[in-house]
Amino acid sequence: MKQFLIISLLLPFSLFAQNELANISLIASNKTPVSYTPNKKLIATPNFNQFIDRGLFSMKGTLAVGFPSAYEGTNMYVSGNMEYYLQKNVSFRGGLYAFLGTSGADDVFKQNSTLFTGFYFHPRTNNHLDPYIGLEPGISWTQLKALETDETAILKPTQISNYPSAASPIISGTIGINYYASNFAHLFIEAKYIAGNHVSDVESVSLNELRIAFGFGFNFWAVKKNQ
Amino acid sequence: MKRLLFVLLISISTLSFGKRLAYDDGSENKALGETSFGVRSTISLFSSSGNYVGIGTGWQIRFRLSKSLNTEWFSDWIVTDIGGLGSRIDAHIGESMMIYPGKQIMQKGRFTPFILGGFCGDYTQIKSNIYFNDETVAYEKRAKERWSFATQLGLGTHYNFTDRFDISFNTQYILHFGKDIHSEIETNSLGDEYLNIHQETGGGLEGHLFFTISANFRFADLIR
Repeated sequence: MKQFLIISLLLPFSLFAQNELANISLIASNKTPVSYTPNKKLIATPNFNQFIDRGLFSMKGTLAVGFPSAYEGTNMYVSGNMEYYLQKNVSFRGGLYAFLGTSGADDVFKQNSTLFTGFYFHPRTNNHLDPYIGLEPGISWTQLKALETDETAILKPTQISNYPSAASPIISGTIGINYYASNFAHLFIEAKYIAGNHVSDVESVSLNELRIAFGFGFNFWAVKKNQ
Repeated sequence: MKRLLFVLLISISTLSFGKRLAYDDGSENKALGETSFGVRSTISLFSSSGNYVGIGTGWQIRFRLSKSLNTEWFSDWIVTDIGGLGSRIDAHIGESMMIYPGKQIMQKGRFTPFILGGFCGDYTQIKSNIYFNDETVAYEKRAKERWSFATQLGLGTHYNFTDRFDISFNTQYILHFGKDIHSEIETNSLGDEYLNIHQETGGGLEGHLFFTISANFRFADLIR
C-alpha cells in the first residue's frame, strides 16, 4: 500500500519530467516551441491553403428529392448545374431541376421543372472543403396533372381546369458543402428551399419545397490557379 | 501633446481614407464606370387587387456614375395569387438612380445604405379563375391587361461580402400611371366568391410596395 502511495505521488513528477525533457530536446535542437513564442506575423496574416480559387469551373449532375410543404408526397428530379468561380469566394451558377414525378399519396403536378441562376458566397477555409450559401431566383415550368374522368364527375364547374402550363417565378436560398478531392472531381451535399406559386384557371398551388441533392461532380481550372 | 495627437489622428484618417479610394496601382478610384450584373427576387407586398403577396424574379445591371451615384437597370416579373380566385402578372422594366448619402465606397464586410428613385414601364394582366357570371348566366373566365408607366422611390442597403460582390436589400413604393385596372372579390347568386375584374374608362393611379433582395457582382470598370 505504501509503495502504491509513493508511486502515485511520484507519478506526477515523472510526467512533469517528460514535459521538461520535451522542452529540453527542443532547446537542444535549437527549436522554439510555438506555444511559448507565437509568430505574430503568421497570426496577423494567416496563409490560407484554400483549394477553390478564381477560374475554377465545376459541374454537378445528380438525382434530387423535394419535400413540398403544401401537399403530401416526395418530388423527384434530375438536377444539374454549372458553376464558375469569379473570385476566391464568389461563384455564379446556372442550374436545372427536371421533374420526374411525385412519389406518395398526392400526385399533383404533371410538370414542375425549374431553371435557376444566381450567385454563391464561399466562406474561407484552409483545406479542400468548400461550404457555400447562395441566392438563386428561378423560373418553374409548372402544370397540374389532369384528373381522371371519374374524379372530375364529382367536381363543381369552378373546380374543373383546362390544365394550362405556367411559368412561375421562384425565390430560393441554398446552403451546402463541396469536398474537392482533386483537380477533377468533387463530392457535394446541398439543401435548397424554394418559394413560389403555380397559378392557372383553378385555385393556386404552393410550390414551396425543400430540395435535397448530393452526389459528385466534375471540375477543372479554366484559369490557372494563383499560387 | 494635444496638437500632436490631433495631427496624428487627422493624418491616419486621411491615409486610411486615401487607401480606400485607391486602386492597387495607386491611382484614384473615382468609381465611375463600375459595372455589375445581378439577379433579384422581389416580393410584392400589396396592390389594388388586395393584400396578397406576389413573388417575382428578375435581373439587373448597375452602372456607376460617381462615388455617390449609381444607376440600376432592372427587369422584374411578378406573379400574385389573388385569394385562390384569380391571379395577377406584373412585368417591370426600368431604371433607378441610387444615391449614397453616407459611405460611398463598397468596403468588404460593411453596409452601404442608399436612397433610390426612378421610373419604369409596366405590363399588368389580371385573370380570374372560372366562375358563374350572373349577368351572362354562364360559367366564364375573364382577363384584362394594360400597359402603364410608373415612378418609384425607396430605401436600401448593400452588404458587401467582398470588394466586388454584394447582397442588396431595398424596399420601394411604385406608383403606376395608366389606364385603370383593378379587381375585387365578390359573391354571385350561387353564394360563391369570384374575382370580378373592373376596367374604368380614363386614367388611374395604382401603388405597390415591393421588397427586393439581389446578389450583384462587379465584373468590369468600363471607365478608368
